[in-house]
Amino acid sequence: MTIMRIGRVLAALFFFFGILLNFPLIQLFTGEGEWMGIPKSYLGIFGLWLFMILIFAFVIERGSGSNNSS
Amino acid sequence: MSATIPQYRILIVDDEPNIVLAIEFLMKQAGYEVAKAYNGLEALEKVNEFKPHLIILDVMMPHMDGFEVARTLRQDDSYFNTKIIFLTAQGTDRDMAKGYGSGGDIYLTKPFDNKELTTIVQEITEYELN
Amino acid sequence: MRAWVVLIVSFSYLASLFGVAYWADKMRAKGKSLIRNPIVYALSLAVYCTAWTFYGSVGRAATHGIEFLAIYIGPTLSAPLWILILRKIIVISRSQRINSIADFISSRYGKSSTLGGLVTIIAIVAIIPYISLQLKAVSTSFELLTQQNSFVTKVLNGESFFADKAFYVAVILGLFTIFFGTRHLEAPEHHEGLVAAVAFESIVKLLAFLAVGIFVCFFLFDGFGDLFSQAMEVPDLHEMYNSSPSSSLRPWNWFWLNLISMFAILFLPRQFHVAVVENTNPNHVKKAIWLFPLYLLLINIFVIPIALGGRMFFPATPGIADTYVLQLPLENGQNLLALLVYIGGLSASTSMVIVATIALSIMASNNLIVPILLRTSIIKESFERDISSRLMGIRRLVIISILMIAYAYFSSLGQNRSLVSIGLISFVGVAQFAPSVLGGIFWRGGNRKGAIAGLLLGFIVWGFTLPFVSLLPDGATADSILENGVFGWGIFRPYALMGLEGMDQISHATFWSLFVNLGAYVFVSLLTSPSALEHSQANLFVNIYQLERTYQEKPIWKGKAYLFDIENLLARFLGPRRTETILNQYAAEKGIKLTKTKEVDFELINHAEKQLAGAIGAASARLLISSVVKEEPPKLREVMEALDETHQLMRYSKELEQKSDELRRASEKLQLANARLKEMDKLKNDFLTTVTHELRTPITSIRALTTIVHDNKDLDEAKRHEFLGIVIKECERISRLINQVLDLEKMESGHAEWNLTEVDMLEIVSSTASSIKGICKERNIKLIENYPDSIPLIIGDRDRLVQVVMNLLSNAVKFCDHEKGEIKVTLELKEEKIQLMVQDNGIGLKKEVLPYIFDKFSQFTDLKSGRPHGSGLGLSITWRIVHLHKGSISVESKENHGASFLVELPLEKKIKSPSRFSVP
Repeated sequence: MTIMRIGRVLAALFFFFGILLNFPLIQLFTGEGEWMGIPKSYLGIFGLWLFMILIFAFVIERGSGSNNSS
Repeated sequence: MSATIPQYRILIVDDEPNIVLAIEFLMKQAGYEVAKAYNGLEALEKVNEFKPHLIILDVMMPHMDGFEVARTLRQDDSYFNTKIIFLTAQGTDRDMAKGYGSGGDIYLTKPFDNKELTTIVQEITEYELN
Repeated sequence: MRAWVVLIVSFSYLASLFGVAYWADKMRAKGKSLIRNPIVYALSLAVYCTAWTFYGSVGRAATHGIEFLAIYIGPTLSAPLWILILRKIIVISRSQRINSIADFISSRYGKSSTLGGLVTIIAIVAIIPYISLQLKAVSTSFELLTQQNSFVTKVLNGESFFADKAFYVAVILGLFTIFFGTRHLEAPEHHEGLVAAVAFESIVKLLAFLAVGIFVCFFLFDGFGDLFSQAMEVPDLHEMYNSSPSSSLRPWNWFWLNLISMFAILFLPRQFHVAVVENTNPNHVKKAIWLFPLYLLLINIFVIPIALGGRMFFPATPGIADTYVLQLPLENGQNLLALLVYIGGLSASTSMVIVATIALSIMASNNLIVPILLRTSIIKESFERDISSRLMGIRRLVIISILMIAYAYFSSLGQNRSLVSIGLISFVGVAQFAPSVLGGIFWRGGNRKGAIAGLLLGFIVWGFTLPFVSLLPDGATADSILENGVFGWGIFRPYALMGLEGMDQISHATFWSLFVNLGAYVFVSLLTSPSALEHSQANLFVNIYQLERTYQEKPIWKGKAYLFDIENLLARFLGPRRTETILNQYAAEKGIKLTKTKEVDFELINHAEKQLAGAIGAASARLLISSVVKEEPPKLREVMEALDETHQLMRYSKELEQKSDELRRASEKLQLANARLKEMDKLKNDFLTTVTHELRTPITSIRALTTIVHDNKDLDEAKRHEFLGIVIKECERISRLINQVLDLEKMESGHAEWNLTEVDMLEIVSSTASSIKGICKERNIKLIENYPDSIPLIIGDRDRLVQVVMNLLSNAVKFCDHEKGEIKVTLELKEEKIQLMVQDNGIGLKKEVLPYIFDKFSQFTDLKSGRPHGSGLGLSITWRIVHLHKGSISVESKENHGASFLVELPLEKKIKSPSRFSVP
């Protein structure tokens, strides 16, 4: 993929996660409840955060397969 | 009718029998000896048998058209000088005929005028015999 | 812990920083750069995490829940946009040799000194408090480490002992900054050592934080689960982290906090510096997009656990939450760990201070000091050949000044000023750059006046809604202003402008300042027009990607200058040696020779201007160059024309491509259509030819024969009879032909009139067969008929169907054997179809002609008699009629074995027909 295409894909991801991470959807990840003693809000946010990062990494690394960027 | 010019032989070739009939009458009336053929193959056979001086040849015939007959004929030296009157249906055929004639070939379009046909044949005959 | 221990450790650490920086510079000189890889780049971005992250986050998490994470999630969220935004900024900056955010904005909007100055001032005002905070953090943590017991007392007493510490820190940092930030006036400002040091510090802070985090989670408690479950038993904490809706997540706060963090990651001067100015390769941005957020995630994992742990350990004093990271190890006898944490905090603070100070100093010297100097003609008329070292001196002075101001601010601070709120105030301050920068790279319409209006108004609103209040002396005035607004005007309440209540201070300030800023920027830009230079710069910025590929830099400079002058100018600011290198490189690249007395063209002038801009900023560079170039810069109209030309060219070439594609497609279609037309034409021609031939033939014989009869009055009766008979037949033939042609034409064009009724095929076939019985007898043809008793009726045109049957029968009659002719007619019902078969025993048809038998005018010469039969259209018409009845017709034949025609008609209705004997 060209870099601009990656850019556009990522921009789309920005909007997606932007909506996800704001109210009211973020309520899904926070709030009551716990898992093995750890509150849902903590796990939820960090989980989502990690997920976002992995998706970005995936898009970029896969997209730049043929581009050598050093 | 008696053949006033007994030695002059004309071969009539046309796939339409009624036309052959009419031309036959005209030629016989003018005193010529006539043979008939209704297609190209038959015509070439008759040429060998009959050895005509003149061929009245319809151009538009199925299987072997008049030009092809003429071409085949011209390839043989003995018939190189046989006069041919082509009966064509359209004006453009004239152009096609160029190159096939050895000079002196005549083209008549159908439907032809009886008088015209007869006159031409007679002119050729006179010329030939002189 | 003993103070001198800590001091020594601190110094050693700083020394190691020097070491790292020095080593990196040496490697660079050898050509083996350490920093040119995306990982180092991403780590350098981590300068974003300052003492605030170390101490402030924990403090915030302990008292206000999850909300603080917005500061780190914001940048993560915006990271995917970096390809479209940050990378573009980097490419532009490399092309224009931009060395600070002030330079960027100034350059974009027509290389305006005013704008550069404005941005610099805003930056300084916003960031100096932030620097102060770092100083405070260092000294506080130092104190904590060395005098833990009396920490509280000291805090309350505000002893000057603190002040001294911070002072020394400031001085040391100043030295470091100067050492590594002002080696030479480079264009661009690449400081390898600095970047290496920053990356190193990022690693140190991460490790330190992770270390204390692991300690708290797994040594003070039994892991995450244990820590959290204990924490949730505290009602306060439970409320913050385990309830729904969580009180720690306030909708608008979360949103605005995220937003300003998104801006901060790009527009904080230190961030802009490491991300843009120090960037070595725009493609490093790609890896940074996920590496940097990963860093943020890692450094934040333990923040909440530490905060909760701290709350549980020190339930009585929530106010010191900022220092939990130190207190927890200390209280548990882990002095070494505490030392490590302290170093981590030191790392965080020092990296921030160094980079921020360098960035600010570049801005200040290029956008404030040099322009002033230029305008006061000090430099212009100076006879000094080499001002570059002068400039260096200026830069250093600025660094020291900044730090001193920061220190002064710090000392004047009340001790109760929380880290976080100052940090956020800075965030909102730099967020004011957003409209100008983002608008600058995407909207060519944004112009200088708009940018100035936006920045100015945004700055004012920001100032009023945030730092203003903190600067007021405590007391009645402050309170009354907060309550009732300035001069008692209710709408001018700092925390509730225009009566907008219900948001916390930060959100409120963000909203208003950005609203006013953006509004003014757009509004004024739309209403005013740009100058020539603004226009061309705008084009350059917004279209950088296209222009990189296609643009030949058009002459913005119309004039010429003597090489001598240019060289002089460059030498004064960049040093003679560097100037020589630059000029030689240029000459080599262009393959030309430069002679001192010759005039140089615009390309060289542009190049020189860029080099200069790298050192002193775009605005000042422009000023200086224009002083040595003889002519005025071109007028707006000329520039616009030149630019529009390029634009038009670009547009035209795109349009041309499109058009030529369209043209190609259209011509392909045309060719197809043409081919088809030609085909149809040919078919028509063939048809006409044949028809005329078919007409001419009978006419010829008619004419010849009638003329004979006419001319020969004495023609014998028999002959006359024969000839006229032929003529009559031929006339019939002609009219038949004409009718058939017309018939066929009507059917094919769909204009035929059909008389559709229910018809009985049985009746049709049998009656038609009867009609030929006469001829059959004449010619001795045996007619065999085979019909069922009855057959269902079908819908059809009776006459036409009779025509079909008649045609088949008459053909059979014509072609069957002359002596012993036999015709077999069969009618039967098979599988929902009516089948009619007509067979003859004639000579049959050759295999080659079978496919063409239904074509128009295909006549088949009876080889024996040499006569063609029929007009050749009969079967075509039959075929067409059958097909129009939705049936099919086929023929089978073997030479000398006759031919058999098969017609199939589908059934539509199932009605029993009356038996054939009742047929009328």
